[in-house]
Amino acid sequence: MTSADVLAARTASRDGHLIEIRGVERHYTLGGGPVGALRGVDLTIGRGELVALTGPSGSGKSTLLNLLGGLDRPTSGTVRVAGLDLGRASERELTIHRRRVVGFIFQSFNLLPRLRAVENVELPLVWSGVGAAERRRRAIALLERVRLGHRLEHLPSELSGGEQQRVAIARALINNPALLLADEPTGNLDSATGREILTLLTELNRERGLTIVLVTHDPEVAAIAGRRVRLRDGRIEAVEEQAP
Amino acid sequence: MIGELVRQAVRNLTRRTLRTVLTTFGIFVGIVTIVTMVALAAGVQREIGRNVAELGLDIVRVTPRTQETGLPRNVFQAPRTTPITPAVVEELRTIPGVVAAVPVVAIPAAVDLRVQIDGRETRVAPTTLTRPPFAQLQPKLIAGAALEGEERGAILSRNALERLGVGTDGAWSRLVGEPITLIARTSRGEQETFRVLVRGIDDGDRPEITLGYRDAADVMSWWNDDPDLLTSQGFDAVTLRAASLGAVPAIGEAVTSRGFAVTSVQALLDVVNRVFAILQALLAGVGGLALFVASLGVVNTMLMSVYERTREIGIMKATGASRGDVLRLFLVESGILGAIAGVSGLLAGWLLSLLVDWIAHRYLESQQVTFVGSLSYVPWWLAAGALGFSVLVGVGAGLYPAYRAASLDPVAALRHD
Repeated sequence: MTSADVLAARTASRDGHLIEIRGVERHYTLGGGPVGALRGVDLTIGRGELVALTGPSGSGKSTLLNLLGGLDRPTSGTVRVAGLDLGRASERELTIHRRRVVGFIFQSFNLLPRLRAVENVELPLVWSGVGAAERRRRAIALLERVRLGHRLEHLPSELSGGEQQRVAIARALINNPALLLADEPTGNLDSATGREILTLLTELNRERGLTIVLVTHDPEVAAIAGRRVRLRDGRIEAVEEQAP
Repeated sequence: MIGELVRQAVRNLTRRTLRTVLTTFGIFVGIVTIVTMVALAAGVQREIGRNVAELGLDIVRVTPRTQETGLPRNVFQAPRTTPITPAVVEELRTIPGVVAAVPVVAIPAAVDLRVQIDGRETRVAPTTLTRPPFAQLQPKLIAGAALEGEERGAILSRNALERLGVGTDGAWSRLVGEPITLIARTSRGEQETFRVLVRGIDDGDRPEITLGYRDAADVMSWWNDDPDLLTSQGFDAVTLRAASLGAVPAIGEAVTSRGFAVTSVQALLDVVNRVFAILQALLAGVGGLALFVASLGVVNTMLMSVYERTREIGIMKATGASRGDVLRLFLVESGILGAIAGVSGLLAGWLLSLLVDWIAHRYLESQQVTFVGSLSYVPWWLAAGALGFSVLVGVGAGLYPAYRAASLDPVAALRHD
């Protein structure tokens, strides 16, 4: 079985929830004592949901996002995404998870500065071993989707903030992930550009049924989400649902 | 995948061109040292091999063992413990693999030897180099035939005949087959006359005569006042010709076991080769040390690079790069550092050895030594070895930095500024 087959089998066996978080704690050792970034979080997120994680800085929302993305492991509790228990997954499984199940976008875009826009979008496919022609074809299609078809050969330094973030979104989508994780995606953008990005994310959520979890402390950004989860001191303080 | 890694690595390296150049310079110097030194050693070795091979690799020279007298050998002949008598020559001829055995009788320079033709007389120096063993060293034959192991006969040099007033081609040819008078004198004035047949004329530009061993033995019997010279003292040497190069060692052993001393060109060549192997190892060692020091520079550069690109490594991991992917990326990068140094070092080393060769030729010319060969020789194993080794040094030096990069925590790496 290829990793894609494993993935298909796994996701098919679980109907409904893409994400299940049970009693998750994440402690760091800082300055001699343990610091609890997450102190018992339970949360389930369904397929196709658009969820905003809000809260003041230090509330643990980024930590939670990193756990979902397989960049970090919980100290205790379980984080299950698309059927995979990320806390117990092997290094190899976590790599496949980051490669195929999730896509990341960041506040500071995090494009590789020496790669052109189209090459940045291709990057995840390089790790998957996809051939050059196929990579280029898919990257161009996605850049056109985010309305950057005219910026393929530009370096990140030659692009505006909004354009860079759209390249980052294209990169996050190139492997057809089930889940898009966005960490303050509009934090470095002016409000007009930020709104464009939010519109794009909303469209992707609707068009593709893409599940999106975004972290923000901006109420205006959180407003696009169907559900807002407010964290404080590593715990869920409140959950607000909003009729679509 | 590898192509993509190489592309990325090249892009990363060209971003900091100066640093890349400086880092590779260390390896470059090491490779230049190794290539230049080994190429020169290999070139000299090859030239020696060629020149010696021209003397005849299939020749084994047998000499009698002598007692240690402690007296200078060039003045006093040491008593021979194992004389090479005619019977011994016959025995040596039966050793498997021997196709010819030519005895040698050397006439010392102290013997005043003169040739007389038509009443004119000139002094000649006896040569002991008989054909075929050292054919390449002898002047070309211009009339008649070579001695080729003949028992009797003489080869006269052109110069000797000119001194005797026999100065034209026709006269030379007419002389072949004719007897001439050979006069030997001691310093006290005693003298003896011998009749020898001229077999050939060579192109020698010194007054010389080469005698068949029987004629030479006659002269030496008179000189030593010993009619049984060949049975008491024996020949001065026997040159054996082997059927093939492969037979030379076995013949050497067979002769040694009979109590005689043996020198063969091949044995000489073995010694030369051994000396040069040691020399090359030493030179390569110096270069190796330079490479080791240079590799520390590569480690340093790669560690700096990993630190600078911490955030990029985080991005790679977040976009699905495995530990292996990151490891490979950095190993390819440091390997390319090594390869750049290897290629340029090989090229520069080769050019440097050519320069040394050129200078050596100019020097030899100024010393009136003619030497046609090249001292610089880059054998394929040196080129391949230098390239392979430099890449290996690069990859080896990149191991720890690459491991560090691959082991970075993605969350911390993404937070890195």
